[in-house]
Amino acid sequence: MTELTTAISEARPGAASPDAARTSLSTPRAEQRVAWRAISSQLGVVLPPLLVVVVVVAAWQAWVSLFHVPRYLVPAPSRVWERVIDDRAALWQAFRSTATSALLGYLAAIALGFLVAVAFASNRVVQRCFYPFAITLQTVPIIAIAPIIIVWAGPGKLAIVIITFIITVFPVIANATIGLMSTDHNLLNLFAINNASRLQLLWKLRLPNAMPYIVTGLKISAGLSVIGAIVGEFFAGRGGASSGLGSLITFSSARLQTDMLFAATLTASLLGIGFFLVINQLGNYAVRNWHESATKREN
Amino acid sequence: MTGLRWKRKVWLMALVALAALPLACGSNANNTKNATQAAPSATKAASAAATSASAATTVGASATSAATQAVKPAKVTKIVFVPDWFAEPENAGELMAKVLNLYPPDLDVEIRDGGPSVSVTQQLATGQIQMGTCGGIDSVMIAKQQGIDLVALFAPMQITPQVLIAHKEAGIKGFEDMKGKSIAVSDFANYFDWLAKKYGWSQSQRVKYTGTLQDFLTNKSLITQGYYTAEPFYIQKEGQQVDVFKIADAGYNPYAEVLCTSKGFLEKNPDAVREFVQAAQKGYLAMLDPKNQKLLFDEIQRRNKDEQVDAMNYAISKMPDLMFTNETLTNGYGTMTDARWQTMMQQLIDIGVLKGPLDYKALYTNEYLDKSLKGMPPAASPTLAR
Repeated sequence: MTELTTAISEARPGAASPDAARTSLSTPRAEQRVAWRAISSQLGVVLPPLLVVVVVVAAWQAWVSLFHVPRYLVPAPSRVWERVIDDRAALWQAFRSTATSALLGYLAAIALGFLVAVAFASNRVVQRCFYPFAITLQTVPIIAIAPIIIVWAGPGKLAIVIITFIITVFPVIANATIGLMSTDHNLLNLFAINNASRLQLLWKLRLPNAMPYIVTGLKISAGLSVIGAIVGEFFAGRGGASSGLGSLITFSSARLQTDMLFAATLTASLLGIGFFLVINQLGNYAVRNWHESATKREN
Repeated sequence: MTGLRWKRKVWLMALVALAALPLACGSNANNTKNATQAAPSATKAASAAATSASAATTVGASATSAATQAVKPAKVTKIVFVPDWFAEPENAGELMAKVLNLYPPDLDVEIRDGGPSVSVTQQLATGQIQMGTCGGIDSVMIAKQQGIDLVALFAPMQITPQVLIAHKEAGIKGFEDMKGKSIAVSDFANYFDWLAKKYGWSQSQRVKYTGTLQDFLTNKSLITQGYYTAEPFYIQKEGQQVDVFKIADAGYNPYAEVLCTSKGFLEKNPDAVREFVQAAQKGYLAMLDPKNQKLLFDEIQRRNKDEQVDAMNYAISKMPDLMFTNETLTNGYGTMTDARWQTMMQQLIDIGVLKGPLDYKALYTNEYLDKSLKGMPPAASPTLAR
């Protein structure tokens, strides 16, 4: 038995001598080194943008103070921060309202956009007939169609979600369509030879193959959904408890409260960034096993 | 040279000649030497001739202008004025004065158009414009709170034209009945919070005023904001019957379409301000005379193609209800009183729009008005707050 264990331990790389044992993965110092490398790589991702933020805020504060920029034009960061602290309840409520509208619109865009993409990918005639209308959804100016939407849906949450949907859906349709149509022809033939049904074809071949494209579409739409919710609130927002960041922005702009305007805009940006980061992580997780963009490699 | 290279050279020469032509023409006004371009000699001769010809005409022109401008004003003050919306009779007194040449020669007045994205307050504050229509005195006080020093000089509308409009089918008899209904109000309307407090409305009733009447015309339970002089006409033209409720009757009555300037400009140019204000007074009063209306309507339509003559006639017929009170009959058209400024300040404090009392007396003055202009006696309508 000891011969076996000795043989195994000798067979391990770097285990031949006592010195080599110190560099193997089992020593405490080596473990510390690994841990430190993990932490520093995380810091390497997070620290640079934070430093940029600090520098920008410092420069902004200096500019406002040195050049006596009037507060109804550009507020100092200190005033904006005061406003964030004083009105954090209102900002949080608006944040939640806008996030809900954005999420609902985003989910609707994913569901309906994907169904439309499947229809487009399956049938060339359907694609040729209706793709231009999908493009129109992206290019139509919201200011023109918002009154029509409000007449139909009434002012409030439903109209806001519809406007979010309209702004968000096109990247999903475009990317999913091209993804579903980009399956390797040889694999399609393989499935045909093995008598795969259309559903099996979709579920086992086309969909996994399309995932990278779909994930890209989702990443683009994540930011757009926040923009969509805020634009929707510009036109269809209600006052009171359900009002979101868009309403907050237009009200504070009308009342010349530039510190609140900046605070609300900053909050909206954070919401957009947050959405994007979550979708980014989910997307990478979805294709982590096989796609070049997300697999872990040694080099 | 081969055929292709020769063709290319010809194209290049033609292109250079074409480019040289505007250069040659452009330099006519200033320099006589055309050494910079390889222009054909014909162009050179022509431009030289043109230069001497234009020089002769400018000399002649300056001679005649010197003769006509015998009494040249010592100092011409440039005043840029912007109203609070597109050109319409409600804010067109200053425009009428321009059309009738009521501004004295030492004022160089330029009137630009306002609109939904034009902030008169900000432009006055930054000195981009010198005079503007501030909407209402509540806006002046809110601006003061944000560090903008404006001075209100003249109140052409003594009673605010802001109204809320409901369909007759909705059966609304007064502001109390509006509880629970959706009310479309613009972000700039300060009266909503005050009315909400008085009549127990909730903030969630407030929806965006989109600027069109589409949502109001199709949704019979919606209540919309409007101007006493405008929206009822458009709605009735669409064949729908409405009830109109004046905000002033509820007790919220800021002076409206107020002419404002920045404190800095007023301190440096008091005489120019006086002349402008008095010309504006005369302009508003002149609007009521049918003889002047054609000139005004043409000018308004030139600036705002959407404004129709029948709408403008309606507006002018309704404006006297808002322009004249007992106060103006006694103290001159466009005067303002401490009492009304104080009431408005208190109302804004009550709804939390103003954080605390301001020195409102520093925010307005009647000093530049021509107090001999009394306008007409107030209308006999009992429902309008006097």
